[in-house]
Amino acid sequence: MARVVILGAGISGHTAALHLRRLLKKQHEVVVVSPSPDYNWIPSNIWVGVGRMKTGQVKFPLAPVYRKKKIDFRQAKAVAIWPEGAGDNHTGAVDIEYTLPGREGERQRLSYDFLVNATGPKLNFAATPGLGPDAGFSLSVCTPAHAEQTAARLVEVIKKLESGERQRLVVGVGHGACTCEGAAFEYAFNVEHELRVRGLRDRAEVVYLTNEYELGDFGVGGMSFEQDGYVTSSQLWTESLFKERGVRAILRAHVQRVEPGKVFYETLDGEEDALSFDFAMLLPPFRGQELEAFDRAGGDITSELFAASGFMKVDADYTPKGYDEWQAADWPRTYVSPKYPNVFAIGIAFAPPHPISRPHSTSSGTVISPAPPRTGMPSAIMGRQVARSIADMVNKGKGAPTHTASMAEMGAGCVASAGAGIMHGTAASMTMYPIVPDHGKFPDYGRNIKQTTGEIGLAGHWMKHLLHHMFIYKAKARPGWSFIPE
Amino acid sequence: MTGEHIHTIAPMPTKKTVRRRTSVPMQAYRFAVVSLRMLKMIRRTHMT
Repeated sequence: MARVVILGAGISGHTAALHLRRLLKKQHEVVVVSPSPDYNWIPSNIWVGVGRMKTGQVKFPLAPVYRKKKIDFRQAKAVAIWPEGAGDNHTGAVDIEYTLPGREGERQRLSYDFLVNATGPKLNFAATPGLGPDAGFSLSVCTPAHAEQTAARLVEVIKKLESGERQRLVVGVGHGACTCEGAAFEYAFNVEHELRVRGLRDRAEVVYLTNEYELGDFGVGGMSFEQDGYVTSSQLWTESLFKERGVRAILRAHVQRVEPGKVFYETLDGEEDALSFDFAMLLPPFRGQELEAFDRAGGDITSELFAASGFMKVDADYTPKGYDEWQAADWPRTYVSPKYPNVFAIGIAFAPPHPISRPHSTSSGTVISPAPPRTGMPSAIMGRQVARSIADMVNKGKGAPTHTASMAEMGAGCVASAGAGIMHGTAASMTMYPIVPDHGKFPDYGRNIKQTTGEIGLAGHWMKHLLHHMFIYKAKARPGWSFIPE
Repeated sequence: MTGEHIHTIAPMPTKKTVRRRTSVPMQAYRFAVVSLRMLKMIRRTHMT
């Protein structure tokens, strides 16, 4: 009998758990450890943040799904990994600490034959003083609770606008090394849309504050695609949307601190400024969860398993190189730890070998460029492929992973909402292939420009709405779930 | 504002383009096109 322990029940971990349960025989155990009792379809949190959805529409309890699928669910957080076992026990183990009401703080050691680290990001609000809704002065849409709080604050802003007051709304990222610019873009345009449909747009100033070098970068170095006989760029396309909708943009910015009603930032050219606000939704930077690792004798091997960012090292080439030396082959294919062949890391939990966007920093060394996104479709595909590899290792005795999911070999579909509404909503529907540019295969633009596309329209909103329902159906493991692609 | 980017060269969409973006018949057609494009991408990516 084999036991597979999956840390995390987000998009990648939950996908891996469902596929493993489907692929492994009943005598094998699938255990999921997650500190949250709920699954959250994070891409729809932006709609909670503008009041278009309730939190119950973007999350559901995991326990009934896992009970139905005979997956052992522990509502707990992982705190330490013992990949070689501990003491005389040579089986790998993970220490967990329960968050389940009634068992809070209780620790347990779980042994495993295979471990999948899908712990996602730690929302690192602490990296910027004053950032975040809990201990700071800005808002977030990273969790359903944060998004609900943000929506309530937006209602207050709308009331002030209705009473004739002017308001400034700042939306963007709260640190120079943030990722998920796509989510900030979506939220900015959803807020702008909500104000416009209420006839309040002329009293509101919407400012997008970003660490991107150019608009349309989205942490993937921007995109090129064919349109009407020309090769155009996501930069021109995104700038056009900003111009059309009257959203001001501050680029190449690192937020230094947030004070009540004021955000302080520096830009790549070294200048510093402050921007007053009535409403600020600023996403935090990410780092790996606080997980330690020990060898059998109890020696600390955290730095062997994890990069300095807290993300887990996998089969990538982490050799430091200049931007022009980066290669598609640097990116991981199987997500297995180079040191422990039964330990994997997927989704945001794996350490990327380098950014995708060209890195930039100020003369004083402040990094101002997006970290690579690895959420949504690629995360889910990693979950499925790692599940298939582990199933082959368990069922067929394969000695190494049999399936791959390199971000330099896969494409992605992305729908970025620019305003909700079944008749008046819009979204940018994008496809790109591959996600990580491969200048060896595609020397001109790094990607296949026929398969890298983008268009704005109501159809995109319908698509995003459809995907919301389809992926929640799939995550609930309803009949036929495995036929829905990741 | 320091760091503000003014989109001077970005093209403004024409009224016709803006109308097309929310025209239900046109967008029903685009929905089919975008769906096919996504399916093609999914198929290619799931072949790995």
